[in-house]
Amino acid sequence: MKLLALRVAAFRRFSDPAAVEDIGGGVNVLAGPNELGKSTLFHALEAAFLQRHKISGAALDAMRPRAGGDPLVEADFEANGQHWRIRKQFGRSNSAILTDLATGRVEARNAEAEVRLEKLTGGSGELPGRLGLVWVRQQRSLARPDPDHDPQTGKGKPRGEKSALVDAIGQEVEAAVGGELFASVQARASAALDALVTAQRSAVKKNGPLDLAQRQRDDIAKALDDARRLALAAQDRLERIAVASQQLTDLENEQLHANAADRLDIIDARIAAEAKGRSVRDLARETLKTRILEAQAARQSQLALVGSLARLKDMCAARAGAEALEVEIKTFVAGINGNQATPARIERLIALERVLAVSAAELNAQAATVDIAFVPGGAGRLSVDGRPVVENTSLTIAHRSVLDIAGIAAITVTAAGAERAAAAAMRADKASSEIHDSLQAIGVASTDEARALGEQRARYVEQLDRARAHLSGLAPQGALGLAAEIAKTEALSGGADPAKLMSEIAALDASVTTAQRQHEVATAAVLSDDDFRALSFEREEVRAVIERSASDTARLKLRLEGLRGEQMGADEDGRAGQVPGLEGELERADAEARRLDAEVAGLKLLADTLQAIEARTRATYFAPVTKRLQPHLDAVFGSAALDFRDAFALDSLTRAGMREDFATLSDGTREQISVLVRLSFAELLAGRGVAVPLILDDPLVYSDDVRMRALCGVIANATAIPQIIVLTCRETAFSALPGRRLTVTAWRPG
Amino acid sequence: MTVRFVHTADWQIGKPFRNFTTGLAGELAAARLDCIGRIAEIAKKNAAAHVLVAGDVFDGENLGNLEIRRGLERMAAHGTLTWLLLPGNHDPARPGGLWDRIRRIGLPGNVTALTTPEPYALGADAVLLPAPLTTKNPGRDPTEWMDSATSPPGFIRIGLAHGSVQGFGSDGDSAVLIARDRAAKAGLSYLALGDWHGTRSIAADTWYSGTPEPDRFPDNDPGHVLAVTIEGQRTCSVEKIASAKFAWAKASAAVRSTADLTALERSFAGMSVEPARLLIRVALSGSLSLAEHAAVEAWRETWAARLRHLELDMSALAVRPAAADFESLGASGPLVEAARMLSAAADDPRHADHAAAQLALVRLFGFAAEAAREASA
Repeated sequence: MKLLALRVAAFRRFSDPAAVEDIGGGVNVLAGPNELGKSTLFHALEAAFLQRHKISGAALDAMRPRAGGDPLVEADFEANGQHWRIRKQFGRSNSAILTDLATGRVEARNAEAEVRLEKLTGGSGELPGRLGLVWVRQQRSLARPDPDHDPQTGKGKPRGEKSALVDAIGQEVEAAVGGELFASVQARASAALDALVTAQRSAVKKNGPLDLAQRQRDDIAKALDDARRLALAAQDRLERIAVASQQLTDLENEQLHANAADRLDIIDARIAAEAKGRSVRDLARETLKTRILEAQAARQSQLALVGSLARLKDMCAARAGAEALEVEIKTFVAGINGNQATPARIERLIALERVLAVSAAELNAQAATVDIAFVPGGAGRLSVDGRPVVENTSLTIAHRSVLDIAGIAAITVTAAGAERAAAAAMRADKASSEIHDSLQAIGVASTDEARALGEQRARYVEQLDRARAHLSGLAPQGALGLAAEIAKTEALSGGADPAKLMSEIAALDASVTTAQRQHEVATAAVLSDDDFRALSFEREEVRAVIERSASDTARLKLRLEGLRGEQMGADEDGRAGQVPGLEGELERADAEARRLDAEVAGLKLLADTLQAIEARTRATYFAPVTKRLQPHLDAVFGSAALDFRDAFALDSLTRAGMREDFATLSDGTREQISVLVRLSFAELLAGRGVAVPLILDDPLVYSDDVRMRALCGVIANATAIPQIIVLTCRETAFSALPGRRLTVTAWRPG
Repeated sequence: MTVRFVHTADWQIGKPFRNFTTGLAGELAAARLDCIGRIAEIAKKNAAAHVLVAGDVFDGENLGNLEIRRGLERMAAHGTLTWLLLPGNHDPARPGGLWDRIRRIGLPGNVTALTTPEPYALGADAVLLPAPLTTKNPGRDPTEWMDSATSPPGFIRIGLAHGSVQGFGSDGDSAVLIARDRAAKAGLSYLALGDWHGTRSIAADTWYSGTPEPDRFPDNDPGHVLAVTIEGQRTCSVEKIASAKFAWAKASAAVRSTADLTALERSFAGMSVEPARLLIRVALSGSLSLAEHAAVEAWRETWAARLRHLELDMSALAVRPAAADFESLGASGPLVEAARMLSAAADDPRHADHAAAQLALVRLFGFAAEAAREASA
């Protein structure tokens, strides 16, 4: 195929119709400034040959000029020895018209025109095919030549490019690589794997059948785990219900057998009877105590009575004595009281007598004595000191005395010691007077009488003392006090009869004995305190047993109720019942996941096996390309070798034994290699009779002059390629490249 | 004095069958319920007033209430019959368990749950001695009490139990052992047993009825009920009557070519029910070329559609590429080489990729055939 002319209208930069006419065989160069619209022309070329006339959306918008309008593209080309024109109108009134230029006849329209065009150009549907291998847009020349990869995204995309190459290489290598059938099997294995695992084959493809199967299996396994747990819980619960039910039955049986309630009744009755017996016994004991006390009291009273009676007798005897003594005492007291000859008086009398004697003696000694002897008929006529003297007397004149003899004379007699005599006489008078008084008081006439009376009195006093002492011993309170006591004692004993008391005591003793016996009987009738305590304890134990078993029963019933409730809840929930169903589902899902795992393993093994075989034949496979590429590499780089990966993807450049990855090469080297590889592809296609124009859009922007010259040489020498079109803004750089110079001219669409 | 009853067991109502496709699972579960109606018809046809179900009436203790109600409703629908249900190891009568729940739900008037080992009057002339299981594994012979169970003089004694008869080598799924001579020891005219899903006579008076509707690929003879007639004190007749909707069968075959599958096809045709009610499990062994293997796959697809269910286990089937396999597809060079490499791994059971290689070979051939078909189309 050769391009003859390209015309555009309302296409991106070209609001006005423009054309590149007279494109010839061999090298064509369209050089011009940046704004000339070279890239637009390249785009128009793609639109004419690779895009459906019915495209819309972003792809259509990308073609429209800024001013708007429906893009029109027209390309004249030579194919199969004939000249053709394809005219595509995009947008509202879109159309595609294929015209045979020789006859001017419209060969096909629209979809049919596009099918015919594909056949003429070797495209495949909408795929760029061989055109894509050699048509390189500006800036993309830096990309790694990698057929069947989207140059924009770098991602794998079916573009029909590899198959175009393989087609071109054709029979040459078919025998070695197994041809179409091998590739087809490989593609099918790959597609089958793609459905199951990721492109890297390392992980399960999300939402693919294997992923879904695995997830379903895992989901079911999880649900089954849950259900199993619930089922286990239900089993466990049912077992616990069974155990608790059995325990309850056992407990109830035990209660039935143990007869604890009956036992309690018996014990209660026994304790009640026992209590009654014990109260009888206690009463008997109290009675006994009372009886003993009564008997003791009676005995005490009896003893007291006997004592009182004896004392009464004594007291009566004492009273008689006391009364006699009191009479005596009265007598003695009266005797004493009637006797004034008190010892003091007696002693005074005696003393006064002595004074009198002494005074008399002294007077006698001092006084004059006048003895008066009366002459008959004289008595009475004398007075001494005025006092008649009637009888003969001797007068002792101690001092002076006047003796008056009536009618005769007053004779005064004065004693020589008249003064002393007078004193003695005075003392004697005084004593005599006192003695006189005392005797008078005593009632006696003489001191001797007084003395005798005094002695009598002293005897009375002695007797009184004796009587008083006796009385005090007999009745300290005296006879009256004693009488009162007797009266009191008599009143107390109240006329009691000791004999009667004695018989009462005997009766009381008898009742004590009776009470004793009754107490013994009552005591014998009841349990000992220890035994009674034991019985009470037994009752408490039985009660505890009953309470315990009642609480056990209640607890068990409550537990059973709880468990049954839980079980009912679980039954209603029903998830535990899902186990068998989920087991079945898991079995299925697991089998499916395992089947798909096996499928992946099988497909991987198949793909790997095919790839290994392909790898072994790769050298053969790439030989047609490398055969054509090698001279160009030598021309530009001196000595170098390119390695391809699968599917003709450029891998690395080896220079002077050094292997360099394509991506690490300089921009210049990359674009040079890119151009050379595509040139080789174009040569290969041309060599297979399916030539397409090699179109380079601003291809070598980074290249230095030396490489530039070398590349221009290679392009100029690529005569095997029927048509090469270089679009460039570097006019001088390509000035060394011989060939037709193209220009953009105005066009008037017909 | 004649007593007629139907002896059945192992209904396992509510068994979910979810290891099968949803549709089939539903049909199988429904068939077990429908079976109750078929049993009722059989009972009526045989003038039997009672249906004795010897355990495992329900599939599990945690069964949903709806499933239980469904079963009870089916029995209630046949009110002229008395349904006597015995708890088995799948549905033991535990306190607070399934049967308490069934009582709460409400037993229809014509259904009796025999949850205690007590004589139960069966009509005017017979007494039924049930041996309900109260746990999955009671660890004792539940029929022992029958020896000393009293019954009015002259009454026919019928035992009803669930478990394995000692010495019979039963592979029933419970661990309950029942004395082989229980009928003789306990003076039973008939001992109705459940647990062994196939129909089997242990003695003239001791029978397993088997499940009325099979629920697994069996080693025994399921799908029947027994119509029992007792005259006087003797078992007069025990008639085995088919009751199943579906038939299950398993087979194995060594194949060298698809021609060997025709024997299998003949055996399907010989089954008691038509193919659409057949569930078949086939294990294939032998060795096939890739083309034959593909043909077996095609055969599987055909029969999977004809039968109600087909499980074809081809894991023991070796694949050996024949020269013709690839020649016929026009494959050469690298594809044949790949097949050779894979075949070497597939033929070596110790090879790490043994199983994967087998599948890779089948896929290689499949893809190649597909591509060839498309290319020629």
